Amino acid sequence: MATTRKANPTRVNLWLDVLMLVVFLIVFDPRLTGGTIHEWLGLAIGATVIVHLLRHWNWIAQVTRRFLGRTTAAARLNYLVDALFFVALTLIILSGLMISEVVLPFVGLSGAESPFWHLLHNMAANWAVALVAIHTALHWKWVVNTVRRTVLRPASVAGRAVVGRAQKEVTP
Amino acid sequence: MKTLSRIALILLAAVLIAGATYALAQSGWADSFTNSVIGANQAQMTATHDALQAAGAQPESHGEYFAMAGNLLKIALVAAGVILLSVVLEKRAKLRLAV
Repeated sequence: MATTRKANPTRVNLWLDVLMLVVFLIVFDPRLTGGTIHEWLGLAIGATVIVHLLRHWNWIAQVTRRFLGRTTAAARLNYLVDALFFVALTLIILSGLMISEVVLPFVGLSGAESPFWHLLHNMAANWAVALVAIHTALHWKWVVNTVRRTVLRPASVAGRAVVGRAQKEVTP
Repeated sequence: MKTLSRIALILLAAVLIAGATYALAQSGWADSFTNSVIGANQAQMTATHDALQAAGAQPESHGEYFAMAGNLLKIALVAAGVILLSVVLEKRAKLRLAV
């Protein structure tokens, strides 16, 4: 009988975050990708952000409930940075759609002529670069620990866990 | 069902932000803001444009040259700054506790 191996959720989160960062960097270089890839990949980022938020939903719900009550300053700071990042990404996608030359015409719509949308797109993108850096830095310990545990030494960590369990069983 | 309602909540938040921004874009404030930013950066943008043209490169129209390297550098610098600051604050807090 075939057995299915359940993926380690922390490992999945790590690789999803790495993928998001790489796609983010590619999207933010429209000269490299060209307009078509830039626009479609920009929309794809929106989808990956939704997946990212769903995977961290419990934390979001918990801090939302406790934001004005009992929670740590670090959690509040993380929450504010994440909220600003969400706003920035929404503004990038909205303004990107408004100045779209590929996606909107593809669905039979046309955007706006106002230079405001170009300006907003650039400004929000600059803010998003800074916010992604702060977001990464605030989770730096998690990144280092997760890379250490799941990428660099997954076998030795698993081995230690087995030894630890065995020792617990032996010691009264 | 739980996942669908969560996705709906995320999309609702995005729609609210987008709606507010769209309303703002229709106001006179958006035009004056755009004009003031363009006016403030006009000289620098013209200088960059002329320098690129003089060097034989295509003037910027779809983002900056080497944006990925530049963004990576910006991310690394800002992240390093935040990590350094958090390390300093953590050490200060420990010292304060020790006193």
